[in-house]
Amino acid sequence: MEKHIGMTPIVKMITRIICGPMLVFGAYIVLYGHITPGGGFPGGVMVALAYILITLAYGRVVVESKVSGIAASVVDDIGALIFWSVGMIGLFIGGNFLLNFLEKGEPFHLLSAGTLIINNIAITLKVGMCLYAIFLALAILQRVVIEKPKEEEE
Amino acid sequence: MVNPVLLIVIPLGGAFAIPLFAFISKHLSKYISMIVALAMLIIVGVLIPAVSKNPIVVKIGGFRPPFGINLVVSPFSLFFAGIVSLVGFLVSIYAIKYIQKGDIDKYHLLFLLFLAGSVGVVLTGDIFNMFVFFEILCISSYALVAYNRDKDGVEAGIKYLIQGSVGSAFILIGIGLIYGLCGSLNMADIANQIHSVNSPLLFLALFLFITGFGIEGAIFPLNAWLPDAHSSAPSTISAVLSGFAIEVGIYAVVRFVWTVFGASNLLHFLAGLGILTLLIGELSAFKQNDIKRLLAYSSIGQIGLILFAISIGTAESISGGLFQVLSHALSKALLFLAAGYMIWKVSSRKIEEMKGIGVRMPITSFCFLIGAFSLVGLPPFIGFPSKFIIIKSALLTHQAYFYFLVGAVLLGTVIEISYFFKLLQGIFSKTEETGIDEAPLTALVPMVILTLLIVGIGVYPQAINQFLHLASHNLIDKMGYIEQVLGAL
Repeated sequence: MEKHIGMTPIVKMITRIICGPMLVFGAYIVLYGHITPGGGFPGGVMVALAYILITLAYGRVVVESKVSGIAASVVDDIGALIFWSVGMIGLFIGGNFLLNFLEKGEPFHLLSAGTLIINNIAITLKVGMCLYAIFLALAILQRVVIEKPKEEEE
Repeated sequence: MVNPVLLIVIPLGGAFAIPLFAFISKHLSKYISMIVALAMLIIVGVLIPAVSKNPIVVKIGGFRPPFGINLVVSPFSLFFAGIVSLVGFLVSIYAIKYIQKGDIDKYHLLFLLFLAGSVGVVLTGDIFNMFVFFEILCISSYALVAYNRDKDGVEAGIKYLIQGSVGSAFILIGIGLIYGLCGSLNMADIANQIHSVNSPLLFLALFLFITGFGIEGAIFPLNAWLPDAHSSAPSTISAVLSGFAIEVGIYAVVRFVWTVFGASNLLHFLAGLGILTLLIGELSAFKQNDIKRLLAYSSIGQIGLILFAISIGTAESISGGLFQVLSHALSKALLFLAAGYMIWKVSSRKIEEMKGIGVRMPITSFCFLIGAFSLVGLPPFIGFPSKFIIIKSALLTHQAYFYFLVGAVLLGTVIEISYFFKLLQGIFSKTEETGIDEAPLTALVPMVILTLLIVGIGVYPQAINQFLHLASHNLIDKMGYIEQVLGAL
């Protein structure tokens, strides 16, 4: 890892400490989405923010070696497909798209509310990786803009 | 019976599947979009007999209509869905060879999202759901307009993006106001209780909806994005944007004015606005020397005519307006598709450069000729019965206001004839030999199908007249709509 990429050591250290809890809290928001305020979207945004924070602190190269833009868009796509499949299974089992076809369970327990947990997880994958991919795309765009004037000088 | 929700779900599923199939081969995506559009067309075909008897109300997730999202598949909305899937299917065949540069998998992904958004807007019975589908439609079209990544395309895309986003924001504020006033997002539920609401905010909400959807529908003061976007996009995208995207905008305006608000006292205003749009579109088209800009301005003119016809407000005029929607969708898609390969072969959009292309590309030019004749309203093509019904129904109102507007429609038609004949004269004039040959088969097949449809329906308009009649009565029957949705508990 090159030392001069990214921000100052203070920011890097704080990021190191804060990133794990951010991801855990995001996962908590997602998994308890059906019984407490929260759900796939806010949880997904937290997951994306953790990745974006690493990108800002350590630079794009470091984080892209772990999760590349292509990998992010594939995960994003898989999230959408999971949501779509849950809807389709509902359509084939009960005749209604997105029908909640699983056991509902006891209210206010973690394993309740049928397909909602699966849908929340699918939305997390979709939203989290999508926002991260958008951020990477914007970062690339910025690089192009910065590099262009140099070419003109030559 | 098939579930109408498949009309929205299949293109969405296809769009999500394309990035995964792109790992095998990027060329698979063009066949996926073709198969998906064909499946949509088949579903519409299966649904037509059932919907003609009785509109279908689909509950998403099994929740009852005022509480959950529902789709209302009435003849009026199915008519638009049919146009979307028909034009979408033909354009996806054309795109097989036409779209070669750039990320073709991304093109087809966006194209399928575009189809899903269009069908969603026309089928949904919930205003917020309509907003979401409308955004899917708009955002995918912003990206598609800039697909070529040239200067014109990006500029047009950004213009379209800015105006479209302002429109979307207007719609969102309108939805907020309506939700505050009525406490519901379901169209039938709002329509049921809107007459008991007495607040000036209601007028503001209607204004916001008409402005917001009017931007996509290219109603006169809101259509500055259209000529750039339609002319700079790849021709396949121009064909779908002109063929059904602006009609979907008009559908949304009509749905809100007629069904949700029941604002029949606004119709005279909308009819006048339609005529203004018509005249401005045709006059601007007259002085163009860029073939695609000419067609784009002509679309504005046609949209004005459609808005005028629907705003006359009788059952017959509405079926005339819907006939015009079909006629415009088929003719304008055909014109843009034909122009696409003409521009490709000449590598210029200037009309002067097109001289003599009629001899080099006989089939393409002949299809272009049929499309232009149909748009002008010559018999025996589809444009003739549609314009005839509109003018007849306007005269039958026996109101001086509409007599005056019919005069303006005829004036618009004269302008339309003059610029199309000028264009055709150039295309079919004689020039020296150049190395230009006919368009490939994948382009000729959709063009010939469109030509056959234009001639076929033009010769035998009764084929669809009955369904249009059903659709127009379905739009007028507001109480029936409320009963179908809320009664289906």
